Amino acid sequence: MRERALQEFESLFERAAIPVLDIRHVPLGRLAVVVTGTPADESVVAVASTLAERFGSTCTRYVPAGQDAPDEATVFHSTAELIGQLRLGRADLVLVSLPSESGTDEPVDLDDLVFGVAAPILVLRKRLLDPRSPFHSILHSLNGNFRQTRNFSYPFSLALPEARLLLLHTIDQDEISDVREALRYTGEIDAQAEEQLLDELRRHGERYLRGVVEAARDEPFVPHYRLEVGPVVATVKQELESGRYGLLVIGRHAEGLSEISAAEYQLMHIVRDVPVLAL
Amino acid sequence: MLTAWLVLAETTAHASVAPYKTWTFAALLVLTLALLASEKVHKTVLVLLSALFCLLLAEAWHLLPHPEGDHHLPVYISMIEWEVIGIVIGATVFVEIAARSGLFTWISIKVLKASGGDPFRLLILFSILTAIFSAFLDNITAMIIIGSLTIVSCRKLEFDPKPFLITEGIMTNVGGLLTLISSIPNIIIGKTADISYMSFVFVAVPYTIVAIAVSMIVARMIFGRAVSPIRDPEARARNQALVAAFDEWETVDSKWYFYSSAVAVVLVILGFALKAQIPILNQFGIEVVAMMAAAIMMLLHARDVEHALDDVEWSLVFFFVGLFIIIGVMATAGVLLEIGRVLSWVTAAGGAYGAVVLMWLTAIFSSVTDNIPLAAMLAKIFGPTAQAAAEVPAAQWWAVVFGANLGGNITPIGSASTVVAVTIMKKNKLKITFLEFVRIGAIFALVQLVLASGYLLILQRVL
Repeated sequence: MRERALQEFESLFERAAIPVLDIRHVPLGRLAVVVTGTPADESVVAVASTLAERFGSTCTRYVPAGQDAPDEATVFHSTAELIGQLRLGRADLVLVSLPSESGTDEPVDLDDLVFGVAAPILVLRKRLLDPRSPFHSILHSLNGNFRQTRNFSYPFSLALPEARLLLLHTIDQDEISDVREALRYTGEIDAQAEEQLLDELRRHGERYLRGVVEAARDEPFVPHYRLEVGPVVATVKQELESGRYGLLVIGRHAEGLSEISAAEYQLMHIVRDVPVLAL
Repeated sequence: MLTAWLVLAETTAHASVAPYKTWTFAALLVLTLALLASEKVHKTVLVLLSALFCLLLAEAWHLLPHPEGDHHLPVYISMIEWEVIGIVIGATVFVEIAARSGLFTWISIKVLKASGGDPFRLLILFSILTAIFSAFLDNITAMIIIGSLTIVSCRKLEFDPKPFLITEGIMTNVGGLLTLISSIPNIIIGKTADISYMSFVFVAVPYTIVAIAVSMIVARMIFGRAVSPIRDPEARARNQALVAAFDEWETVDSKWYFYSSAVAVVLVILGFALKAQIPILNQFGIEVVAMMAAAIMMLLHARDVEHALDDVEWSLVFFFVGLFIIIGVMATAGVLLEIGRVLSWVTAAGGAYGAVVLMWLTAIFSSVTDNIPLAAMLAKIFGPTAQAAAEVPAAQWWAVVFGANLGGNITPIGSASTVVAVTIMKKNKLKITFLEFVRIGAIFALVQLVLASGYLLILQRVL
């Protein structure tokens, strides 16, 4: 009985300790640059050059058929073909330029690309004055999924010294409402239980974020975090409207599985003023 | 000093017990205690079998009294100290439910954070916390909670947990002195000597505070660098951040459960403390407060009733039943009277230091055998009746209390909490040999017993 109690208490206290996150920088040795004949082409190339210089990466350029392309560029005829080429190229990061206007025919289907390629995708839709600007101030939107650990490797690697990195964890009120509605029918939730659920989510989020900040102790930048409860898209948009950010980072993959939440999907499509990095 | 009770004790023993019968029962007692110390047979089974055999033999030799008339309890029922069993059951249920609320784990993490991750502050704060927890929880639960947190926090802070666990194991026994219900020997002696909860606290607290403070100095000297304060500001900041990252609410399932348990714990402590002043309640023993506390907790947390009742140490309850019967038979057979004579001679030889000698003897016996039978036996020897108990000098009762509680610190098998401390170390692959523990534990015990000796001499003059 003592052994069991010891085990139980030890596990309880282990749970109470923040997760020790092992966040490692990614080498970014291979960059894939997809230029699609949009105003952001120049910027996407400039950003890639900046990164190549910082990380000593090799850049491979991908161009749609029918456009002027340098000799070394790889030409693709469809998004499916591009996905195949990117997979073969084993890029660490894919940079894509896309049109800034909504409703325009996009030369590359972003949804297919996001689901088809495992590497993170950096989407640029507008011309940048400074190709280093995305890495000076980063807004990282989190959904509290603990499997997102690997995602921090990218913003941590990309952030410049003295950069501002805000980890914005939004507890999705809509999701809680859905759970509440579903559980109300089974009688498993009442007002007290709902408050408790929210409280738990807040505490888990807080612990997670503190874990990330702790893991960044030796980084040349200082990450901050904020916890919000509300609709994810509106909260992130509101934060971006402050104009302080050069890059929005959103979660996408969970340990290699193609998963994307509705909110992240929306953000990926509607945020056009700043580059979006879909991890 | 012991002559008054010897006269009374003789009245408890059967009027004409043949010496060979007394010696036969004495041999049975020695055999039972030896087998208990060897831990070859489960102690409850052993004691129940021994009790049964003693009863049958006493009946066969016509030693058991059989009162006339219809309205009397069987002799073995009246031998059992039901008040002690009531306290044990009531307190266990109460503590089990309160412990499930996360209240104690919450406090533990708060204390860990207050240490700032500094080894010496952690040692001091955890030692004080262990002592306080063991005053209100049972020693095993206190050691399990603090010991588990010690392992987890030391792992994060990269400290060697051994010095902390050994000190905590020892501190549970010091904390066991704090209140009347902190340990079983206290309950037994307190009940026999009719010491109230608050009187017990008033006498025990000053000693405990001094003992903890001195033990910390001893720990610092024994463990050296392993528990030294951190000087490097960078390492200090790192450790501070590591302990600050613990989330105390993570161990709490329900805030209602948590807050209601906190209120209940405070009320129950007040109930124990103020029982003598509360009309009606003051007509009952402390076991009634313990049972009421258990009932209130079960009412508040009806979901946990079955678990809490399952977790009552029923083996301990049956152990008590057997033990009290053995002691009852030994009293009837005149064995306790003989032991009393020997003790009387020893303490008389000690002169003014009689109580001190008694304390050291109790401590030495407690270090190798269970302190519960020892305390129960000494309680019966010194106080076979309420009148006899009242004749015994207070310092003598305190000698038994100090000896029984502190003696457990000498060896790893001397008390349940040191056994748990060693179990935690073994579970975490931290090597500790019996002798290694004795080398450390004996120093602590020696210092604490020397302090207690001085305190007993003061008590002799004051009480």
